[in-house]
Amino acid sequence: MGKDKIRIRKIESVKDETPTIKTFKVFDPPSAKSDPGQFLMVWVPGSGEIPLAVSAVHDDYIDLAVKRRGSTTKYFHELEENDKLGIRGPYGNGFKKPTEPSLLVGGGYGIAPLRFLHQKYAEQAQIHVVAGASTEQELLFLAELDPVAVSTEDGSRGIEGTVLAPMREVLSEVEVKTVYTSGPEKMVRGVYDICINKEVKLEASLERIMKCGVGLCGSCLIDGFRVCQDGPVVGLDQLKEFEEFGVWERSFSGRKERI
Amino acid sequence: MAEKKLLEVELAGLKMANPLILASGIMGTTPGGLNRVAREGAGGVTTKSLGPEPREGHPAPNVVKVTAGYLNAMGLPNPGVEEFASELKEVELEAAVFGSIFAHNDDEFRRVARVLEPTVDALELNLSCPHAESLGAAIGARPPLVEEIVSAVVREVNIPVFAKLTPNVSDITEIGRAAELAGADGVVAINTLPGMSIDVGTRRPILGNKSGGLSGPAIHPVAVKSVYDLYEALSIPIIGAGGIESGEDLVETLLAGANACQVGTAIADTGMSVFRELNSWLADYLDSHQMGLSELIGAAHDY
Ligand SMILES: Cc1cc2nc3c(=O)[nH]c(=O)nc-3n(C[C@H](O)[C@H](O)[C@H](O)COP(=O)(O)OP(=O)(O)OC[C@H]3O[C@@H](n4cnc5c(N)ncnc54)[C@H](O)[C@@H]3O)c2cc1C
Ligand SMILES: Cc1cc2nc3c(=O)[nH]c(=O)nc-3n(C[C@H](O)[C@H](O)[C@H](O)COP(=O)(O)O)c2cc1C
Ligand code: FES
Repeated sequence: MGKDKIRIRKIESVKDETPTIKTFKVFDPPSAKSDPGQFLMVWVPGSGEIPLAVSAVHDDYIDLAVKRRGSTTKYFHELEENDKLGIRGPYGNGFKKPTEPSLLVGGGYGIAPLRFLHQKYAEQAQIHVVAGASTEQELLFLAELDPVAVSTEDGSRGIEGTVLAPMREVLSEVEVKTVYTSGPEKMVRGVYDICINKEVKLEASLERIMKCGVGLCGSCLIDGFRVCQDGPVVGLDQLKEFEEFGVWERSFSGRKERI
Repeated sequence: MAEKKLLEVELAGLKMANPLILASGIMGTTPGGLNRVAREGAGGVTTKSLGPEPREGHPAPNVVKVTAGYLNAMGLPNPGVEEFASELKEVELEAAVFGSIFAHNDDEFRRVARVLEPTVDALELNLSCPHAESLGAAIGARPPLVEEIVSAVVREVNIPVFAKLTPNVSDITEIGRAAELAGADGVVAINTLPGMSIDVGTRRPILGNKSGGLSGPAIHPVAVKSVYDLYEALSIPIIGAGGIESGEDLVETLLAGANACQVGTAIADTGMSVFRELNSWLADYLDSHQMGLSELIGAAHDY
């Protein structure tokens, strides 16, 4: 299919968001038409290829919010305007369109696909946001998302700790039918437990190592579920069936490791 | 229910509900992945090729879409045979399980085979790995090495052993004969063909490993010819593989002489439903032609 062929694109602009996260704006119409929560495989020529979410769309342009972590993302952060990227996708299933009062719960760079969801649907449904990060400087997209509560692990802003405490508070104060979440799996697991407890629906975006993105290699498996094709967004019923969710993940070799 | 009986096959003593087997390296990196494919209707499933040590595989990009197929250079990532076997032991699979193994010499092959044997129904030897002592030439391109390795494994284990052949040789039947002579219970043909993709925008090879293996519809005619030639040359069962996506592709490979067929890349384009779809297409074909599955196998050789 057409979307699987790599499209070489020039970086339009680069913006520092936090000390470790930069936004790269890129012209790519197929991605600009994607659903929030779908992802792209982005090739950084000279380095690797990694899965990334679209964090916002401006006409035919997309924003990619990239956190500096290991070798590929370090190299990515060195790129400048006019440097080239290869993009394929969009892949996977995105978030269900919010039609009822919703709460977005994002941790770290996980807020990226939620920002796109917010951008696309905030005028059509009531959407509240809770955002968390390691420290104040790492909180993303505050001006746009205007969160009702924030948390930081070091307490430099908002509630000290994870997003779970403010999430619980918001759920007890305002009407929420569906929670949308994306972030570290421990956090997503915590969000899941709260949703079960409070009987609200959940749409969660999961992360696994993705080497192919097209459902062949098996690197992204949770049990028999391919996060790249069958996910990355999953609902509560699916999450309930997983044995490995929140507990086990796979390394690059496929070795089972505790989260 | 009638479909069920119609599609049953026996392969080197292995009973399978149907002739479709998941190809090695697709979804088979975990027991959960294998189980999923079994539940989606495959009669057999093959594990990712397992080696003596854990391997992370090649740097990404690992997969590139090309015209009529994919190039992959995964680099045989696997958690090591001990780790995999200990996980597989815990899972009851609803299909015949083929344990694929790769190694650099007969001693290593033997060791990996021994560890895997208790958890699988048959072994598949991936002979496409470069031989450590022969400067990168694939083991599977050299009949004496194939004989050495196949006979070492056959003597080591008490389950059927299949030799998976690389098409990257001048005469695949020569390699097939070496495997048969060494006591292989069957052969699998074919593995991927070597290929490369260079991006014209950046002028770079795309794969992290620069080159990789071509699979999918592009290699299907190569698979058909390989199976056809092997059927003439051998008397042991043949498992066909290479670009099988449609019911026609499947029947074509059976007509060429395959007793069963592996499906890999089709999962990317068709999805997991491919096993059910191919099985029902095959059942309809047999029904409308009033034929049994065994009558189909090698039938093209009558002409
Ligand atoms: C669906 C999805 C959407 C994502 N969206 C974003 C996003 O919008 N912004 C962002 O900054 N990050 C995102 N990520 C995570 C991003 O892919 C990893 O941070 C990146 O791959 C790290 O690569 P590296 O070479 O810098 O790190 P490495 O040094 O290679 O690894 C560091 C860690 O990153 C993770 N990782 C490495 N390679 C991969 C891979 N191929 N697939 C998945 N995880 C990997 C592993 O947990 C690893 O331990 C997303 C991941 C997924 C699965
Ligand atoms: C992503 C990928 C990984 C593969 N890994 C292996 C492997 O580990 N061992 C092996 O013997 N063959 C491997 N193969 C080859 C397949 O098993 C099969 O022989 C080949 O792809 C042809 O079948 P297909 O066109 O139906 O995919 C791999 C193929 C692909 C696409
Ligand atoms: S990334 Fe390869 S199967 Fe999902």
